[in-house]
Amino acid sequence: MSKDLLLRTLKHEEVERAPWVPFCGVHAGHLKGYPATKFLTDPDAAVESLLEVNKLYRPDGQPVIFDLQIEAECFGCDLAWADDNPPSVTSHPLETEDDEEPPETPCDCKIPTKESGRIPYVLEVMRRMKKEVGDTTALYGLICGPFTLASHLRGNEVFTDMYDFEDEISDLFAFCARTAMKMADYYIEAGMDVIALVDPLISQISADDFEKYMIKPYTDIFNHIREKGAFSSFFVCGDASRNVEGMCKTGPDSISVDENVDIVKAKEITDRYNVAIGGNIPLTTVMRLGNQQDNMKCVVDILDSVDSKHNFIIAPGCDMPYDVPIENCIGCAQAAIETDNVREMVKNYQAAEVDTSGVVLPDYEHLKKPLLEVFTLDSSQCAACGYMMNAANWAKAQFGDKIDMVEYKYIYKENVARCVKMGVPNLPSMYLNGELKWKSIIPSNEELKSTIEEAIEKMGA
Amino acid sequence: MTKLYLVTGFLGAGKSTFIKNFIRLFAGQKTQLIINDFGREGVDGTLLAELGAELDEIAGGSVFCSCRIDEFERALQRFVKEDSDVVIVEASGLSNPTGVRKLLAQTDRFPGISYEGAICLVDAIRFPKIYATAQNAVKQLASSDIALINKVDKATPAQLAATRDIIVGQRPDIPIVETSFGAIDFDVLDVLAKHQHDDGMEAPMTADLTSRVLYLQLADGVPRATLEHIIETFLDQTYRVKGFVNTVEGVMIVNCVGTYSSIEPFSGAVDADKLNTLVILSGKGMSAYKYVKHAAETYHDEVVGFSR
Repeated sequence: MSKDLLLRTLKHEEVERAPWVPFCGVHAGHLKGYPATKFLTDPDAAVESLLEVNKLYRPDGQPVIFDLQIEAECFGCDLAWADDNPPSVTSHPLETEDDEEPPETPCDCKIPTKESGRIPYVLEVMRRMKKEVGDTTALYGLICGPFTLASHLRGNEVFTDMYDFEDEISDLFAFCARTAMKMADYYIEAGMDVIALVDPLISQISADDFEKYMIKPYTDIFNHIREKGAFSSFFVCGDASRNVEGMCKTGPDSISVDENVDIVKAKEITDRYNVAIGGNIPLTTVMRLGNQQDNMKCVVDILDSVDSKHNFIIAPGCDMPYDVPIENCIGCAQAAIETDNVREMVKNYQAAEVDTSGVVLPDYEHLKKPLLEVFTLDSSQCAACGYMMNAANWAKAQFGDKIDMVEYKYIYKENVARCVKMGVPNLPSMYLNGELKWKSIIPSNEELKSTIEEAIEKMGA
Repeated sequence: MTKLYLVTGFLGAGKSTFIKNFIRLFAGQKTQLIINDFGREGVDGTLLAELGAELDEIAGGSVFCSCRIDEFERALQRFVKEDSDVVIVEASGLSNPTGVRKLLAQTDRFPGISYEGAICLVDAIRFPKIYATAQNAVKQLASSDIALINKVDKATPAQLAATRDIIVGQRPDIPIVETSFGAIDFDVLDVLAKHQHDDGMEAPMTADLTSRVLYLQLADGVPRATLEHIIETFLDQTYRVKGFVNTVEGVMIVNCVGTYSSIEPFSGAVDADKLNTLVILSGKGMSAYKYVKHAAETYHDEVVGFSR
């Protein structure tokens, strides 16, 4: 374990090996048999679990609490809890359900304090972890990024607001950025070395919208973190390739991406801006569904594909699923730390090909009515997938029996095979009658409605 | 020690009317009123000025919010210094008083204050609807020591039963009293003394972002009938509309609750800066902005502007 190795990487120095940062959120609870509901509310259970992560996976850096709903809960969003996932937001206090109502920016007096929601729990866990392992492991404080937080508060309307209410939505993003800075203050004071802004929905917006709406809030946040003496990171998930350059322009010390992004290409961009990049061990196909050798080989392959001694962090693509087999993450740790030895061990290993023989695709040419197929990582866990499913559910509610709709979650092996057979390029994606219509970007209700109406007309359904 | 009583309840539950009766219980004692308006216009304060009690207005946010709590603290310290016997606080109808008992027990911040409890006013007819949409209505009931169901004279037995069921469902322990016009025909102080309730500080502290305020500025001398039409345009998208308007027929007080509209002549004194501005309070699921904008466009000669 080397905290110093990670900090030197964030200072953009040459290092002897890429630091290893396992993103163990609720998976940490799995190590000690605690459900997510217990892990995310009980400081004793959380500290016990996180110390187990530290012992088993030997991280150079380690997130403390990975829960993007902490701030939303403080703002009065209702949460749906699960035992094997972080909670998800089920109500949006600024939602109006009327396209002509602009978003309201709350008073700054509503920004969470150290006493709000579960922040006392988070701060206690941070202080205790700092005391226990803070000398040897760099600790990450994770904050919900302004775009995802705005979507928690405003719901799906945040996407149409960028067209209908430019000034008002900019004000709301600025409010969310001020919230993030306040949260950063609390977490830095509690001993966090790195403040990571986690904004999964960044992958859902265009590069133009990123430039227009996100550059300013993020630049403010990263400057603030720097002034406070901590390091920063910008986490996204999904296909955020088009926004990697924009993210670099906001001035974080590092960014982190998942398997939807070509890390070699992305590193060419981040190197130009002298920003470190972390990633991108596939969460489901490798960490959750693969075996230990798959995991070791994957880590070696990633490290061999990039210049791993400068500006690179080896890490899972995002928050690890709850029930990743422990031996798989141990394999990743071993490959990250003892890369040469592991390379030798797996040099002749061939991963099993996905068997697609059992997958029966619908007869798309002869469907009786439009079929909407949504391919997600897991809509109850991945925020972007959740919003894609919300759009699909909205369509189903609108059209009722006139269409069919189905979700395929990538967490199940049979659905991985279906994705391979269909050639699904990214998750989340939405297909209509077997044709890829939306990849990563969530369609507006209007667009979805008109596309389905066209299909109905064409099919005479 | 200065005794502090909190009067809470959602917008339009009848807090101001109740306070006019409540304050009589303290005849002969040095009594202070703190009126807390959510909007910056301080309409409720003007209405209660006629009571003669010393009155302090804290407008533009809840006294329990960090944006107004300093002002609240200073007012209470001043009252204690002036040897007041009683302070009655009318909380904003949109306020969240969670933790009030613990807050006022902080002797370094509130020395000389003895918190005597909270009375929650509940509208007998509208409460089920409000309870379903306004988070803070739930929190107000959670933080109170008596639930006073007001306006029972207008409620059907079924409406009253529905309101009672909700209160009992959330707070089976709370004494429930029924009344109309905010009348007090029971020993409220005795009931309060016997039912001091710990207000659930164990619950995580969360903010409510669902409350919305709009201000509609009207031209001076709008005909009363036009004023009614303007308000009708957006009334069903609001919890409350209130303010003073100088019409052709004289100064009117606008005091609308839900879809119930009241525009009556007002003979009291109104500060010039409060005249001709309507405070419009709405919440989740309401399209107040859209319809107020529509009113401003339709009545462009009578509406000077509107703002958030």
